[in-house]
Amino acid sequence: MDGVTETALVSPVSHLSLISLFLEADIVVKAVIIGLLLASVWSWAIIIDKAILYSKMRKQMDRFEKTFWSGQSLEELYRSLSGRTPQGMASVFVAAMREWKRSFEAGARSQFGLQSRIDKVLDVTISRETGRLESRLLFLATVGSAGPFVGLFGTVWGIMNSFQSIAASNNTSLAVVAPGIAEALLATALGLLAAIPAVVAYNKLSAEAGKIGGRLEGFADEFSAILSRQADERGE
Amino acid sequence: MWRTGLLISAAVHLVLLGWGLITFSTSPLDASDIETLPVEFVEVTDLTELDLGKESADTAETPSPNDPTEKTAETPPQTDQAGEDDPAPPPPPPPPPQESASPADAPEAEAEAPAAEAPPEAIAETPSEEPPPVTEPSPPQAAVAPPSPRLRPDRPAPPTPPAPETPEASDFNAEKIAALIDRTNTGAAQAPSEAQASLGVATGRPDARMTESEIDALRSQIQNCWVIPTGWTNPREVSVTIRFGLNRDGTVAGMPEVVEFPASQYGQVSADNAIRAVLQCGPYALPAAKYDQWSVVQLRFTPPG
Repeated sequence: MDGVTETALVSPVSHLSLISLFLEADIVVKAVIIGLLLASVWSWAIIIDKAILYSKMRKQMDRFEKTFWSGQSLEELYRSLSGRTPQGMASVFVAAMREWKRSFEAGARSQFGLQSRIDKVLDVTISRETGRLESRLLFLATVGSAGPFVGLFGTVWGIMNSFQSIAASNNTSLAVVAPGIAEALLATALGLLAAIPAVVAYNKLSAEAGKIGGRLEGFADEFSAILSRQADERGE
Repeated sequence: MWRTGLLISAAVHLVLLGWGLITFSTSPLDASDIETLPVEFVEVTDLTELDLGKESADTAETPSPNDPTEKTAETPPQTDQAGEDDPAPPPPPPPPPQESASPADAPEAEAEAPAAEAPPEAIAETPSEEPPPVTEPSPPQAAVAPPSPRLRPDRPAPPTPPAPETPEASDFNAEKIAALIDRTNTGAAQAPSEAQASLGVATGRPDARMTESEIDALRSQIQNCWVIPTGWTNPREVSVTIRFGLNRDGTVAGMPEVVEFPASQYGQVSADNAIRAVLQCGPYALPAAKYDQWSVVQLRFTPPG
């Protein structure tokens, strides 16, 4: 054929499928796409994990509060809980009770020292619990904020390539550019796909973690007050 | 604990990806199926020739008193204008030879008729050389031929009636005058009636055959400059039709116009390339005498092979 210019173009795709789009993409775009897919998988794993954890935690706290305020003696409750590894509110209770019992078993009589020790134990336990609640939430925040940019980077790179292919072929038709642009846009689509759930879930989950943490602290304050009252009664 | 979350997430992603693969790949295919348009070969039609044909058709009407014969004679010329159908061609060819042999007046009438609208050169040549081209449809003599064959297909009716009446010179003039007068009417009437195009081709063929060969040369010249976009599978995907005007010196007048291009992904490129080819390949060496025939050219570009 006369004048047909053979150029190293992105060969026009007869039908655009996700696989062909991916396979014909540049290596950088491929890396971006794979990275975003992994980020999406991992962030959804975190979301599911946290959602399960929080709902469990809430049920646990409800149950514990019910038994705690049921009039059962603290000693009894402590004995029933200390056997297994306590979680959430129970762990706060167990830690404080342990410190209390140790102090009395050692014969310490300093009211002030006991109170401050118990408060410190409570603080440490609460921060450990909330740390467990909020672990890996930061990954969601990172994906949510960086995902679109990473996708955009893939898109810019892909469009750069397709414009280079225009320059190489002297052919300005959409048929030459379209596959490259479609590939490139796939990267942005994946970036958004990963980022949107991550942002939404991060907001929801961090709010929930904050609520649970607040509840733990409220209980700790209450329990600390109870213990200090008991210490006063015993001291007299 | 986090393992369950990861497993669920990975599974859901896989499912969504699979679903995306299925749905994403099918939808564009449907769209492309709808867009492909079958396109027919389009011949070049010249306005001037059409006018000549009308004149002759009118003359045919006036002499022949019988309505049925007239109508049969008239129908072919009308079809001439838009003539694009193949079935008709066989019938028209026979009439031309008859004309060439019998009527002595016919050539004169033809010569005069084009004179009104055709360039002066064409007029001078037509009377002297017309008889030979009539018998022989050879392309080289096309310069003279186009006007004559044109008239012939239309003529079939007129020649037979006038043949007996040839002795009367006065009647002949009156017919011509009537023809001139009628021409305006018929022209107006014929323009809208393109529905009968099928017969027109038949009459048009003998005329067109001459022009066609030159048009073919023109097309091959342009097609050499035409860069066909790569990647097409079906020739239809890149076949385009271009119309452009030509000046007398063979240069392209104005901007070529895309009459139609396929709705495939290559269509627009192909059309652009075709326009570029038309502009770049000029000027074209075409017989000046037949300028009326190629003043406006409509070409269909199809990939060779």
